[in-house]
Amino acid sequence: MSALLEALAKDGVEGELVGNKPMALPTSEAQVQAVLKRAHADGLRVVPMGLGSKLEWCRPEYITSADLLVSTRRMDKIIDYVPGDGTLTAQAGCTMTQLEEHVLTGGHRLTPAVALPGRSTLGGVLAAGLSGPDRQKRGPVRHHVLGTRVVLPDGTLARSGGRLVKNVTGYDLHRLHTGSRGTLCILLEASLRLFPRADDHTHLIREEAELDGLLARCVELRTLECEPLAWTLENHGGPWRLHVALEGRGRAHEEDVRDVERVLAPQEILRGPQADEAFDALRGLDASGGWGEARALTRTSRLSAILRMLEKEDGLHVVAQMGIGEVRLQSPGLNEASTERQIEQLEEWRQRLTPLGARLEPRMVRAQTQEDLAPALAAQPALDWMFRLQDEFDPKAQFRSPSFPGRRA
Amino acid sequence: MQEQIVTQLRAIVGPEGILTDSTALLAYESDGLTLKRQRPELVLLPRDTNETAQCMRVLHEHGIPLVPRGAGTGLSGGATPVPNGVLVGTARMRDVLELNAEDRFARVQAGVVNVDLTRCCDGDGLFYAPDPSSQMACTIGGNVAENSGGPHCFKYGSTTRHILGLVIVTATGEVLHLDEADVDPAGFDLVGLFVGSEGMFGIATEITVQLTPIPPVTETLLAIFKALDPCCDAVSDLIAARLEPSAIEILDKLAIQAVEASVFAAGYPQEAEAVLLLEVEGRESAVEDTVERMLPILEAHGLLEVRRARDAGERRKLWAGRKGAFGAMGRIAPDLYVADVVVPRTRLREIVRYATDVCSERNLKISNVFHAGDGNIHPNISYDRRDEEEVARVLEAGDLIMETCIKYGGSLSGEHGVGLEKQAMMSRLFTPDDLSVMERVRRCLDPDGRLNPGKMFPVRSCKEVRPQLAGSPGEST
Ligand SMILES: Cc1cc2nc3c(=O)[nH]c(=O)nc-3n(C[C@H](O)[C@H](O)[C@H](O)COP(=O)(O)OP(=O)(O)OC[C@H]3O[C@@H](n4cnc5c(N)ncnc54)[C@H](O)[C@@H]3O)c2cc1C
Repeated sequence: MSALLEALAKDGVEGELVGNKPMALPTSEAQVQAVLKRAHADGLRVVPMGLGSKLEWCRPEYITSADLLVSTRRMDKIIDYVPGDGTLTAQAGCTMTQLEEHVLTGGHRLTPAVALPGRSTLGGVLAAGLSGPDRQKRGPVRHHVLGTRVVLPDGTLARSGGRLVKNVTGYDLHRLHTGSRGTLCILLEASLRLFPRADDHTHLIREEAELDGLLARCVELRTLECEPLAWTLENHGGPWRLHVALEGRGRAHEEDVRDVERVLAPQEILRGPQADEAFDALRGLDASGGWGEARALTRTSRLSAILRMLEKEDGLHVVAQMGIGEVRLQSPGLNEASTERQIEQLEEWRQRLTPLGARLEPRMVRAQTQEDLAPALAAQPALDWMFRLQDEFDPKAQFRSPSFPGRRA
Repeated sequence: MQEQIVTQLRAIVGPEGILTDSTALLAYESDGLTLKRQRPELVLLPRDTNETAQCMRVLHEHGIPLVPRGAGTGLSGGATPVPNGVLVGTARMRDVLELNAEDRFARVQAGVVNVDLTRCCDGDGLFYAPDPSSQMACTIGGNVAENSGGPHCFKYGSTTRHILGLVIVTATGEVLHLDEADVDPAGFDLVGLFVGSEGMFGIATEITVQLTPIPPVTETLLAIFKALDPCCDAVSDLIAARLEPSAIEILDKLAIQAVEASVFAAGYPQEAEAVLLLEVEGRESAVEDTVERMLPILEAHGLLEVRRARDAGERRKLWAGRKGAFGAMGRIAPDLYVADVVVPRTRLREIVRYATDVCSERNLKISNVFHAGDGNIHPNISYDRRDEEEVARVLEAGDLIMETCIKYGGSLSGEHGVGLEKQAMMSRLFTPDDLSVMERVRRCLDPDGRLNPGKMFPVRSCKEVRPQLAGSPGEST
């Protein structure tokens, strides 16, 4: 047992060792505050976490440089689900599965539909700024966070927003916290907007050996009246597969299906529970399977050119959200390659993607790789404001990451 | 202000870009919250980002406070000038810089009027979704600063969901480009943070907005009720039934009468106690299905009649009535206090009833026109600002309504912002730590606090300040 865990135990906070890293497991807001006050006094480097499923890419340096991991996984109470208002407030340690199941009882859905909902906590998902394939219809998760409660590095507890679907009182600090990868605060609680669960679901898939035919169909799909729940083009080594997931009700849903069917000429049309399973499989594609990964972010009109370029890469797995402008590049083995090899690969992608108007974001690569590439990939002009915010709230740099939100060029 | 500074500023913006004459400055003494007034030292109207940045550098050099201003339609005093301060207006920044129909975005200067943005893209089958009722006048820059809403934000969300990028001129005159229309922010979401910051983080000079495809079919319904309470309950039940119209708005009897007596007359039935204006959009079958499901819910709450707009002309008329309602209230009394509070949508009836009772107990004329679907109510109190005693009653009623909203789990503002109007109430909603964290964020971005000073945050011990609402920085008239 580490001395730090023993000291925390005296404050009533349990913990355990993960490898040789002490991990505090607070069960209440007061305990999180107590942990952070101690860490602040001792100048410890802290990495906040949930169940750890995203640490590998969000904060890969945790393995080497963190003095203390603070997990909110034991703070897993659903605080308020108001079906009549379509809102949910829950503690950061609730898993997405727990929340999805809970709101389904009142006929609601939650966004984002993440890859590993049972292994992802609400706090982790929000801090990672994750989206799922349902972003096509629902938009990014940051649009649906209504409010947060957080603890700052010095132990201060603060709230922003609320539990209301509409609210402009005070600054939207919850927008700042969402996607900040635990570099500004620990999320304790969040309120989310929910979505009505649709009665009917249909999942259509077309498979082709060549990319071009599917891209042509995408152009036409974009002109349709329907709003797909998900619209994903993927390649995992074999043929290319284009998925369109639809949700709706009755006649309108059938018309949507007919329209998509006409344009897509799908080989598979799955309905009801089978459609749900297919959608879950689509969510699962977002998990990199432990491979080295990068995201290319761009405008939708540039996707075709980018995908054509990637088509020529041997052994590369690709998942593209066609209505959003996001492409995931998953490279088996890259996660295990040396730092030099990772940098070389990512640099090569960057140099080919930048002229096509895409920004690259590495994932699932070594901390050193992320750190070395950070100056080239950061939004340099905005870094000044970001660093000022970090300096203000984390003057001892306890929560800092060497690669996020970026490094100066 | 020293003549030498004025000369410096004039050299940047030219003679058309600076107003110093006291008659010209009169128009800038207040925004839509006319209770608060303060004459600015001068008004600057730069033409673009570069001129704005140069002006800001001069103001920074001389430590002069400033207030950004769009069209001045704000209702919380956000654009009220500050003593010894300058107004920096965006009225000459009206260009649409880029329209990209394929990727569905537009890049505009901050002074572009909301409705002009939609006009410029409707030929491409697109529109800009946030539609404040003031959209004929208000600017996209003002919308960003207030995170404005509008009737159709029930479906599409407030401004923040439609902003992709910004060019910001900081308090020191630096230009910060956050303007790539990208999927996710690189680093922290500074755009999301800026939206709704009420002109306290910088001046947005260019804004990249998401555009939305015009829905194939739009159905507008006017549901007429014999009482306001059941009309509110009908809305709560529509939400609970998880139906998804695009707009759900309520007007009560006094509002209906004011509209019908005005140029915005929309054919609302004057004998009705309340009407519900509903819009449903999508493909035809989806629209029909939603309407079919809505009707029994409305009927269960004493629906008297439902009228459907037969064509685009009728639809426009129905909406003109709703959007012109605040203006129409000029017929009731010379001044209007537009409250703007939010409650969970399950508490709609209670808060509307409470607001009505509070006003009638104080012999005040209240009319309700509001975004019912979002739980965002606007109890509008008509008054005469020359009657000091009546002003005091108005303010007291406003405070009580806000307090009750907080008690119901609601909030102080759904769309108009805090500004000067609600700053004193902030400490009822937030703890001192919550507020101090917000102030620290502000200090990071504007260390000298020269951008829109004296707004949003309560002056410490603000309970004592509140009764003289007309205190600094604006003065009562
Ligand atoms: C009749 C009427 C109806 C209304 N209906 C609605 C409604 O339905 N929904 C709604 O949300 N609001 C409504 N409003 C309020 C108002 O129109 C909105 O708040 C609007 O967004 C203000 O825009 P503006 O250009 O007039 O901004 P202003 O009033 O000039 O300024 C508002 C705030 O924004 C800041 N600001 C302005 N421009 C910039 C910029 N470029 N950069 C940084 N800060 C800036 C100002 O400092 C101020 O704090 C209504 C007002 C009226 C009078």
